[in-house]
Amino acid sequence: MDIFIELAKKMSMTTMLEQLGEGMIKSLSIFGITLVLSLPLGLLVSFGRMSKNPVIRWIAKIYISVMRGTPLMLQLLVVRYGPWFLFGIRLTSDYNFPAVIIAFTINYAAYFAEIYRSGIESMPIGQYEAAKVLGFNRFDTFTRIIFPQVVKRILPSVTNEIITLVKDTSLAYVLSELEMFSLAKQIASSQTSFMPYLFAGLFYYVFNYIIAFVMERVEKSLSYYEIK
Amino acid sequence: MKLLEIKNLSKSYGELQVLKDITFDVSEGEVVAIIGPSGSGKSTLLRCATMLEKISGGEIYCKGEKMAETVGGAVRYANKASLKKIRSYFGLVFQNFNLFPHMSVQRNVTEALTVNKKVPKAEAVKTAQKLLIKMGLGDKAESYPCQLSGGQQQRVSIARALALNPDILYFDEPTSALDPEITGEILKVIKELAAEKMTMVIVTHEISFARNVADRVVFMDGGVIVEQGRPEEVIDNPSSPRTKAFLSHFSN
Ligand SMILES: Nc1ncnc2c1ncn2[C@@H]1O[C@H](COP(=O)(O)OP(=O)(O)O)[C@@H](O)[C@H]1O
Ligand SMILES: [Mg+2]
Repeated sequence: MDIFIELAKKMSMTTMLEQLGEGMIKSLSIFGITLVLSLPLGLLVSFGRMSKNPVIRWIAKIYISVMRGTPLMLQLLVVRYGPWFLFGIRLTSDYNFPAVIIAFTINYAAYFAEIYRSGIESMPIGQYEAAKVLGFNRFDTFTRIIFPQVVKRILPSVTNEIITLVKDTSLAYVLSELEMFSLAKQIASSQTSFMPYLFAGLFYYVFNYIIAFVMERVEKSLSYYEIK
Repeated sequence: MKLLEIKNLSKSYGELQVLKDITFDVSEGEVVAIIGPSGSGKSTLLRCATMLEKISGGEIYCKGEKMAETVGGAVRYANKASLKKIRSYFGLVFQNFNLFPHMSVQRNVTEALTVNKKVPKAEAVKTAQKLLIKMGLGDKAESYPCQLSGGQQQRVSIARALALNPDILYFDEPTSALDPEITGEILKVIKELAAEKMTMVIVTHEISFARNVADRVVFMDGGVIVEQGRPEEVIDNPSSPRTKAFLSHFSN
């Protein structure tokens, strides 16, 4: 009799993979949306950080230092529950996923901002001077001359950050967002099986492998020129 | 016609006065060589004339149009539109080229034409090809700066400046970053431009070149113009002891 209940509880391999697949999609969404939002936001923050206006510069500086100086997990909780504790705004669990995206985006934007800044500040002044004498306005100087070279300079650091992001997506579990890792954990304990962990590990590994491959391609595509 | 007129120009970095009461002008078709020891303010003078540095006092006119003046001790630059126009009157060739490394040789030459002067791409490419052939780089259009020798890179940067058809072209030690055996190829290009009556101001340490190509030689020291005149006067027969002392390093 017992053995029948046990068998009934055991989910089939396909159900398990189906559920893990859902977690995979969630992880990929967190990753993709965060990247698409934080890369441009980071550029904006880096402009603030390098602004001539001291107020803007300080705001950006404090923002970056708080984001980099506190755990992402804490930031997730603050973004999710801060509105309630600070302003009494009650938000349903529908807000969980947006909260994850907001927290990840503002956190990663801070890291990207510092990467952009180091890249922009490492550009030789002669590039700006040549552009100025040739009559380029500030916008064209940045978009046509400075930024393309900055991209090449910062690519290795950006790759590192992206790989960290892949692994960080698992932190979404603190807001009960069932991404790959928390689902694997849940299924593993209910099914007393090690399989989901193996599957999750494989997922993260393959994911990062693909990223490394893509970034290497991008780096190669920019290797047609050298910068001093 | 005077293409450049500088009156009582001064330039300071904080307490350090780098240019003192410089009065200097350049007429159309003239080739002027500026010589002088390192730190004497030659680059700063060119940088003030090309608006890479703001002046601290005095006046600058380009093709008769006012770039900057000093009224009641305060320096006033012309409005943005005038400065944009004035900027198109001159070009500058840097000591270390400052080519755009991510653009092909041809793109380096066409980019300012297409983006800033709104010249159609096909026309800009034609201009670039003509200039690159003139610079002996007809086969390098698709190369990138890092694939070229220093001398070739400097010739690209000259082509890039010429593409915008400037009235006056400034050179700041165009051969100083090059190996001695290839300075000749740049000097040859400048000589050809002089033969075409291109107006040029060249800061250089190549004294014999200055004597050869310049209509006028200016000797600067300590932020002032110590003396100027025809090359045979300034170089072969200097009147100032400072000029003599400087030139004695070069006689051999
Ligand atoms: N940005 C700057 N800040 C402070 N001092 C400078 C700056 N640029 C140049 N100088 C000083 O101005 C003087 C003249 O420099 P420069 O015009 O480069 O001389 P040259 O080109 O004749 O060698 C030097 O003493 C140099 O140290
Ligand atoms: Mg100099």
